[in-house]
Amino acid sequence: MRDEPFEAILARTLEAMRASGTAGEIYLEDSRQSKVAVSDQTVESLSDRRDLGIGIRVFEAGGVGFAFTTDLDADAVRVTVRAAKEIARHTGPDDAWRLPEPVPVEPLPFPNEDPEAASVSAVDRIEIAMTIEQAARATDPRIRKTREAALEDYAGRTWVASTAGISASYAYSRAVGRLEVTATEGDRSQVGYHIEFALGAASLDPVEIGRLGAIKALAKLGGEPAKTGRMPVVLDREIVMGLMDALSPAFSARRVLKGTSVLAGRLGERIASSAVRLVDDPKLPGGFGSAPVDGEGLATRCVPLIEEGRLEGYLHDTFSHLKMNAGEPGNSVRHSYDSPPGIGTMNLVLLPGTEPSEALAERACDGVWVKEVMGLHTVDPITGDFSLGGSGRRIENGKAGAPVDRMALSGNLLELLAGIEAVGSDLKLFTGGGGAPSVLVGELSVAGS
Amino acid sequence: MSDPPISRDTACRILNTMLSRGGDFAEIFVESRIETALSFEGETLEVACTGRDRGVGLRLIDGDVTCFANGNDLTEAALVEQGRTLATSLVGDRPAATATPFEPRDARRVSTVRVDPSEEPVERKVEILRRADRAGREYDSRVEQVGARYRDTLRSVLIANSEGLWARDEVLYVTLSVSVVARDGDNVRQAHKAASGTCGLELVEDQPPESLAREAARVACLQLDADPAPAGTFTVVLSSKAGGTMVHEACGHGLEGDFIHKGLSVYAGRIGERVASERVTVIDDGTLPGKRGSFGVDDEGAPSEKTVLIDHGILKGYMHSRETAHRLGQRSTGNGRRQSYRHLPIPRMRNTLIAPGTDDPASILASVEDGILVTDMGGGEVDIVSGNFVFHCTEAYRIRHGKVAEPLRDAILTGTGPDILARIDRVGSDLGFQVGTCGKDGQGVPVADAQPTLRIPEIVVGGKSR
Repeated sequence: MRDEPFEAILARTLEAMRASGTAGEIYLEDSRQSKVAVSDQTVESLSDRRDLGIGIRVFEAGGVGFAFTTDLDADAVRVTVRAAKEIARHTGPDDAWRLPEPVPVEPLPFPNEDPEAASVSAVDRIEIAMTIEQAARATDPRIRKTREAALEDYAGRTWVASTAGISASYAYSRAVGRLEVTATEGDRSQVGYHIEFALGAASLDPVEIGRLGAIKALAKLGGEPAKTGRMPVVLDREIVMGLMDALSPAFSARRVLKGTSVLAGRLGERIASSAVRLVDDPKLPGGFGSAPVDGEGLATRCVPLIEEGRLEGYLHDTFSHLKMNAGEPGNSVRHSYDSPPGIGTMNLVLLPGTEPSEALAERACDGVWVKEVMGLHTVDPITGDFSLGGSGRRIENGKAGAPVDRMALSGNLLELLAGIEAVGSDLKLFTGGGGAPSVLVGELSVAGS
Repeated sequence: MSDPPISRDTACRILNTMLSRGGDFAEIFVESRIETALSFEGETLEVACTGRDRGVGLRLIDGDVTCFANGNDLTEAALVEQGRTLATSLVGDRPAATATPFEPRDARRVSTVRVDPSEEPVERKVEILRRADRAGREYDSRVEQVGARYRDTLRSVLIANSEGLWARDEVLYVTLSVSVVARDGDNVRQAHKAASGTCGLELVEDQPPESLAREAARVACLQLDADPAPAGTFTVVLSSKAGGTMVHEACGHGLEGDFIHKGLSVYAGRIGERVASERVTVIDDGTLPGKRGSFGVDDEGAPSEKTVLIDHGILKGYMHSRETAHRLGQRSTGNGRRQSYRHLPIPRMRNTLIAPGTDDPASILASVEDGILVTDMGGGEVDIVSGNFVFHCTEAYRIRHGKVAEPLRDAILTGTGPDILARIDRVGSDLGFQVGTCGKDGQGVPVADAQPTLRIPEIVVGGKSR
């Protein structure tokens, strides 16, 4: 069994790279996920997942190569460095492929891991998952079946070290409680899904997760198709988050360079209604994606993207920054050790307005209140066009009315941003990283009966 | 096949350690993935990536409880230690169980490889992408950007369990995809085409990069001129060229055993009942040579098979993993799949299709006075409990007087699975496949879907035209 500390593996690999005149960077990830899943007040599964691997990026002859391995033995890492060098020959060349230069990194000014995590026992964790399900069933007798009530604890650490002198590392923990239950009335059933997160399991409110999941399922019962037409629409904050995430690739400077962003060439222009203020804030207290450094080991900072409707900036990594001679790097993200870093958001936040969501419905007067959508992964990031399935409630005389489902909602994300008449005050942070409040859109195409 | 990653004796000791405090079933899943991924964009090879991922997942089942852990260290000492930890997670301490001696079985080779990509130089793979890039750019002056991606993955698995199963399989995946962005002034559209199979580099002989690129360029340019789809209820013809996203979403997921045993699916408890029009036969087949969802054994070691789900409208069966089959007193259908050694196996589709019928595809189109023809489907999603689904149409046209009329863009179709399947009133004699990666519970697995040309007399179309 191997017991070499990871820092020693990094140091040894960097030393070997330097000795052979290789400019390179190592990313090491060690993350663990413990999950308890229950159903019908019985434990279904207890699983411990560990992701451990190394990704190596080598800058060679004007190109860049990437190789990964899950075998941390010295020989395997050496082979991986060689593979990255070998494959780099085929890429580029481009002057902008350069190793990032080290910059000072400040630690996050708030805790990013739960100091009490170790004290939560397996029994405690089972209890939390059980409580989530119990709370859902206690909400209403029509709550019948559970797909899953689960508690997931994540804890991990990542390292980025390079021959240019970067040496960054940070640890994190998150606990996620989730529930998927059905509500049944007559021969029709509907599902409700709810998820909450915190730094540690002890900070979750399992009763609230259960209650909210149940309420979502119950609210969908008896849904009828909506009217077809263009109408005012209130989008629940969860939907707004999904749509902002779907738009987020368009802020990537690499996409802008390639002309595959709907926001290319529009810096400084008005692209949204003046109510829209969008930022990527990796230093957001309590954000799911909060981190002191990005995927290249560079300091993170809050980047304004849309300010009072104007496009303020793009997201950069070292390559796009050098290539465009603009912006600041710091928005590199990694999905895993097995893929090269790309540009992305860490906590994408639509800043809240002042009105509660009920006031948005009042303003809409007659329309629909969209609570759930399907097909978000089909949104076109190049044009911003979307067509989604949806469900929610009718808005009648400014109040939430009868449930509607099998709705088809179509539009374009930029037209939607331009059509936002009000942003709610109900900002909520989500597990994808970031947060959003509900919004009122003046007019959207809805298809139903 | 090469030597196994762990010996049978080692496997036996690990299984017995896992069962040292009791338990009904213990399993070792060892997986190795070797891959190369290349991305050509902006007329240059932009991303080049290669690597190896190898690890093990240990699963212990006691009654209704499943315990799972994974690791990357394949030494016996590490695995025995991990097995012991897993054993201690069982509540209560009962007499040790012992593993049954192995009966080794190598998976039947479902797909063959003619050109092994690991023996080809990287240059050859880059050249494939360059050919796609060139063909895409030359197609039309409005083509602004071409992105071409290549990936080969060799996945080898070993499954050893306490019931004496010792099964190995090796599947090679090759994927080539092209996306094209077309621009006309401020009007920008994109299209994407992919070819993928369980095969070698011969994939590009059957589906040349030039034809994929031209297809993507054709659709992107077509979208520039397309009108937004109308919103409302229409008669829809789904061409066989459109692939099988509809069957995948409208009934495939709802027939997966985990949704059935929990009674969540609209199709639960309905075996022997009519759930679709009598013209509709639905099959999930993991044995089609070269198809993206094919394999010899599933990720629990059960042989892949052809499973009839709906026969002429009557529900015949579900797709099962070992666990869901066990809970319903049935046998596994070879649908127990996992994304990797880090995941628990769950029931998943393989190659899912609606079987061809007898109608002439051209006559189906000619039968529609006013409607919509869908010739390419993109992604979709389904709510299992209500059966409500959506799927995105990436190429569609208006049908007027039985003929293909103006192109439409951004259409989705939405409905309820059993309702739409019951309405299908024409089934063509043709069959067309598409490939994809299906996501469920955070796990992605390679699949293919297929269908003949179909007519649905009434379905909700979401579009944004007034």
